[in-house]
Amino acid sequence: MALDPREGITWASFLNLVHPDDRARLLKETERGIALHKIVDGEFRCVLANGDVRLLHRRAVPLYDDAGQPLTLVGISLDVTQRKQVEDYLRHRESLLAQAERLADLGSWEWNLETSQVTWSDHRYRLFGLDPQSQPPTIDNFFGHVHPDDRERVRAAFQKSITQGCPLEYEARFILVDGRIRTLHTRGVPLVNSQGRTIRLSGMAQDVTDRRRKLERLRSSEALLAQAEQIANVGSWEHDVKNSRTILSSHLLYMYGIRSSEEWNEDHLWHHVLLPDSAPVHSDWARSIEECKPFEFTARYRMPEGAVRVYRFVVRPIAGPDGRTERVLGVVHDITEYTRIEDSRRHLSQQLVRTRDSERRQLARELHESAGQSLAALKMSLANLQEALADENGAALDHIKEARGFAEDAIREIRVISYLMYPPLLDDAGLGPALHWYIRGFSERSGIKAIVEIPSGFGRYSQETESAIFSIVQEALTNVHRYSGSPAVVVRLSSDGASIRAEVQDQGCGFSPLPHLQDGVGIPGMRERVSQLDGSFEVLSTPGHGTLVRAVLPARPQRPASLVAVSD
Amino acid sequence: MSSKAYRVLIADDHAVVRRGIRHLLETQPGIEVPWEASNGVEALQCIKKEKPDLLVLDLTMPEMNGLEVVRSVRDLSPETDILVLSMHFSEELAREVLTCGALAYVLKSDADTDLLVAVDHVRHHQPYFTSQLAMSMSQNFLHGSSPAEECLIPGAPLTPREVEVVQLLADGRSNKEVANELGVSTRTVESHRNHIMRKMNFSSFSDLVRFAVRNHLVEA
Repeated sequence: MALDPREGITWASFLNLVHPDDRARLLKETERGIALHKIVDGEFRCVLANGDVRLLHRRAVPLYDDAGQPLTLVGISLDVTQRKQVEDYLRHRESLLAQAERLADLGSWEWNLETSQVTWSDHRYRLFGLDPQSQPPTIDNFFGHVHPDDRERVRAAFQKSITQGCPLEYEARFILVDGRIRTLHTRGVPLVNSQGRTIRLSGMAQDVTDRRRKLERLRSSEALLAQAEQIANVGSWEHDVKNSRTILSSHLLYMYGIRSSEEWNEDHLWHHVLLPDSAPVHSDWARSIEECKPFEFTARYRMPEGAVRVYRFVVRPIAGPDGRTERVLGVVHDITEYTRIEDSRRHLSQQLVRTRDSERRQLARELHESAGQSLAALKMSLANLQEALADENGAALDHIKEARGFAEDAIREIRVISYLMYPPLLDDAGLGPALHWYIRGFSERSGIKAIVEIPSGFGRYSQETESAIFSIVQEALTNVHRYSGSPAVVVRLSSDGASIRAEVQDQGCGFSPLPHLQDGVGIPGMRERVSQLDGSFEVLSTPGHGTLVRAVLPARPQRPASLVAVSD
Repeated sequence: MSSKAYRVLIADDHAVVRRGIRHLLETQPGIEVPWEASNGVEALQCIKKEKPDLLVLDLTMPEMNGLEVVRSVRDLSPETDILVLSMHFSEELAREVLTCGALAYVLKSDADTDLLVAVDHVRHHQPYFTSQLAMSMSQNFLHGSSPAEECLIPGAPLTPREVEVVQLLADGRSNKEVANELGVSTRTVESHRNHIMRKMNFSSFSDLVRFAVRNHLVEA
């Protein structure tokens, strides 16, 4: 004890060696042992001459004389410094492990198959909703807590690991003592003896309930998205500009007719997209990414098996912190069905316009030709009657004159009604006379001076063509009257044999070519009519400089009224 | 006036109109209506065969466009004059009809008042426009493209036949006397007279006489 054994030791010199903090306790323990006739057992620290502190474990027996007076204290002291250090170290490691288990929501366990004893770490107890101080469950008790739906599976996993000596892994729901249901993920390894018998299983269990829930939620929202894409027939993709990687949604893969994003590359797209000329779209696409601006286009897409669909591509570049495109998001919408419906709608509306036109035309003709002619005949009959009566009956003559006046009025009314519906003059005499007639009336009604420029010998064209041009001029003049404020208008027709050009030009206020104003009143109708006849239509306008409406239609010849020839 | 009857072909697809026209024409001395046609082809066949003096033609008929009929008549029978009856009140159409070779354009609804006057003009190979178009038309027409016609009296859009009527009336003849002189019915003369009054905006018969004297149509 850092003293020279030959020198001997006194009680006082011993006490001197004891750590000052432990000295009083040591004395007290010693006195108590002596007084109570008990073994003195305790630890104390010694401070060596070189300053080292050692931990000693003392165990001593007090001896007494016959009179019961204490004689001496006999005992041994052991240096337990190292043992204590190992103990501390172990305790520290244990607490670290417990802390780690708690942080990871992980509990360790061991099952001794030979003794059927189950050992759990503190946190394993907590995972089960138990106090770490309680008794570990028996193995039957453990299985009793597994959710009934998972129990057989868990049992089988244990069985397999034990009999085959293979690692154990399962995920199962447990009904905790407090009734909560948690999902634990368990892994274990068997310990096999020299006879190949599994004698022990040990492992870890982790509570994955929250992770599992999040995953479920993610999976279900992914499934929802996929479902939504499928229902809406929309596919989406994301392109990472830096590593040039593109991820396609499952519905987009389906729409492109490929199996995985890996199969995808830009060449594939341009190979299958059908455009009369893909170069402009190519360069617009590149510019959209370069300038980080959205871009859209519609194209037909040929599926690998040959079917052709109509897709609307929407490209949305996303800027990084430096303002340059970092990612590109895209949506592809299958509008085949929509396009088909739109086409049939257009077809239907064309048919509707044609039917309406032909009905009005027929009604107008009917009125003009039948009722009008009968009234004309009536007037002639009345004139003949008047002549026949001569000067014989003054009163009767007055009645006849009045009747002729009524007939005259009726004729005038019928003429106005039929002309408003569809000018029969158009069919009988063509665009020149019909437009001259209409425009003269327009000038009288509106006070707008109208100049009509129709070359002589302008000729006749198909009924649809003439009727379309007439109604376009009519519509354009209505707009001039209502909106332009122009004092004059020029209506110009010309033909170069292959096409007919109709123009209505005013000197009014015009309008700015904003998209929402461009298709103003009646303009969609005019555009529609022209497109039905494969013509082109444009409205040129600048604020303050008037408006020019121009329609160019193919010059379809008039169907011959009759091929009956007068035989010689 | 030749003693030979003036033979007229009426071509109209409406039977009632044909009957009305026939009645109107048959009241006139020297006019016969031996034929009727209900479409353009029939009309042309008849014209080719019979060469009538006058074709009263409805412009809108099935089988053949009225303008085509007019053009064909000029080839088939140049001596046949054409009076077009139309439902359309259109200056351009009237002009086109006349350009194609018809001599008169009468609005069907005015046939009761205008037809006889028109026939009287055509019978004397003078052009005629339905009264409602007469003012602008005759001015345009006489001053315009047709060199064959000249305006007899400057500023007065009267046809030569109408000038004749003015002369006779201003000379103190009665309607009946004028009718006899011109070989037409008194009714035709009355129609002429009404047209002239309306065209020249005369408010009384004295206006007509003053006009005739001023323009040296009669001796004062």
